[in-house]
Amino acid sequence: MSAHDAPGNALSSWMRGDGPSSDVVLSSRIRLARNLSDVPYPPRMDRAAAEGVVARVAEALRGWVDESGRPLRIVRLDALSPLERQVMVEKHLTSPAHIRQAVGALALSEDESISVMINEEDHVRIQCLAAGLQLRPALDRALRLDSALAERLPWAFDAEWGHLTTCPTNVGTGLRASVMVHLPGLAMANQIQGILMTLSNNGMTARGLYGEGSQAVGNLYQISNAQSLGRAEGEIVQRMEEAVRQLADRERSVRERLLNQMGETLKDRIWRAYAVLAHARRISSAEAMELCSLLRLGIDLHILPQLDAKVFNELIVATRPAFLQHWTGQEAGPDERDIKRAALIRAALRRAEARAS
Amino acid sequence: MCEECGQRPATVHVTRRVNGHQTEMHLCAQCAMEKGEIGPLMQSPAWMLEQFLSALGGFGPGSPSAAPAAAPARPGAAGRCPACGLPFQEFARTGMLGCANCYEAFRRELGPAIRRIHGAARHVGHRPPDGPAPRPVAGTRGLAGAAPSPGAPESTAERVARLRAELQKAVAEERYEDAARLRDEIRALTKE
Repeated sequence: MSAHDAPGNALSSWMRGDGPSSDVVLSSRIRLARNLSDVPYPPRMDRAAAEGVVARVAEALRGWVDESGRPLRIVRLDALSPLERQVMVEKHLTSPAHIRQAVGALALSEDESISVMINEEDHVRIQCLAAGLQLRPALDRALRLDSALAERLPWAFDAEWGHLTTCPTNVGTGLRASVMVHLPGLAMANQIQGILMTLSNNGMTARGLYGEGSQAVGNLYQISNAQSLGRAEGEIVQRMEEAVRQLADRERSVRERLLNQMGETLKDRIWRAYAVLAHARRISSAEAMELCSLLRLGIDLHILPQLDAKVFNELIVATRPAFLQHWTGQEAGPDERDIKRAALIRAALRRAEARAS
Repeated sequence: MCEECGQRPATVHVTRRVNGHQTEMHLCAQCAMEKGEIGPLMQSPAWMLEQFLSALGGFGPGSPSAAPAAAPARPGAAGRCPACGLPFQEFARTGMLGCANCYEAFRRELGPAIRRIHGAARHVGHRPPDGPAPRPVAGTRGLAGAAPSPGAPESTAERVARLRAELQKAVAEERYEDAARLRDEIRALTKE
């Protein structure tokens, strides 16, 4: 696997569309923020210090293997083109803040389910991704890697405040546990606001799919724990899994009700979404996401038997602007992108139908 | 920059489509809340940070008392971290600390704000093992007045003794939430 494979494929294996509760919960993510006690934090370190951190973390990772027995592969950000870096962000392997750093690197597992960001906002951010609702297994994997690194690196740790992070909003466990959920039913039933309010009253936050400041496109929300201090990692994750399970139950029952009450109308909307996606010659990112959400709802409700859930995840990543540019192999303008996007969607749907038949 | 107040960075982006016309608004969290565009639900990390900076008191960008005249005189306000040189004022603006020692240098200022946003004041959970001994930030005067060595092993007896002392202090200061947590922690430890 070369440094260029990761941006090349639309789907990391953790995004294949399976996993527990995958009809509502698309993926789970654990992030642990860690820092070295003896180097200024990334916002205040010079180039030499930043290079030093990359070298030390790479060295500390040497010999470590994931459950499949494979080591992590170190990718320096400056070895990737700007477009490739953006694709890494769209695949959730790194963050917009990370790719802006002058000296940074990623350590990736072969299946892209583990990604260690070096010199993001913190010196080290361990990220573990999993399909469906699997926060606990992802947490266990992240802590296993953290323990190995802690044997070799002096983590900044305080008896009172735990792991000391660059931003005090992350102190303590340094943990951000997130799930990506697809809530088309609750959105149609106008229940999103209430649900999100309930989550926020229970120490969780929700926002749109692509990180900070983005609006919720395609009825996709990312739910995370709001506080990182004062509760053990296992407890934070367990509370979230319980809340998300309840949320998933609610989404399912709303979908059932919608199907019972407005069956033909709903089916019509879903088939129309499919028709546009299957035949449009030009489509914007926003429209594609909106229709893909209906498509996915149709798959989950068995209204579109010719498709599987995998195609949805493929389309969500593949229709993002940078991936699309990467895929087309040129710096395409918006108009051209809309044409390419439509072509890519048609091709993906044809492939999915071929898989099913 | 926020389109409404023109002062704070825009962290909330609202897109509306009405009869095929798309409008966009870029607001700071505070104006977005005031306009009813977000409830407490769309709490992005940026919003959390804004809350944290407000909680620092007098210095946060979200605080109406950000004017220097209204800011209370506080010892840490003009100080710098002795290890990395970060001025507290800069932290109050960005929310980013400069090094591990900043937590020690600004402990008094950070304490209440950390408690407010996390609803807790003490770490529970994973600890680093007895790894390499902590070293001071390179090229600096070192971890002046650092807390007891991080990662140092603490026997259960020592831990219980420390927690008991904290419990008494918490009760004396009427921090009952903390007291309850400490009581549970002690119970769990002494049961083992």
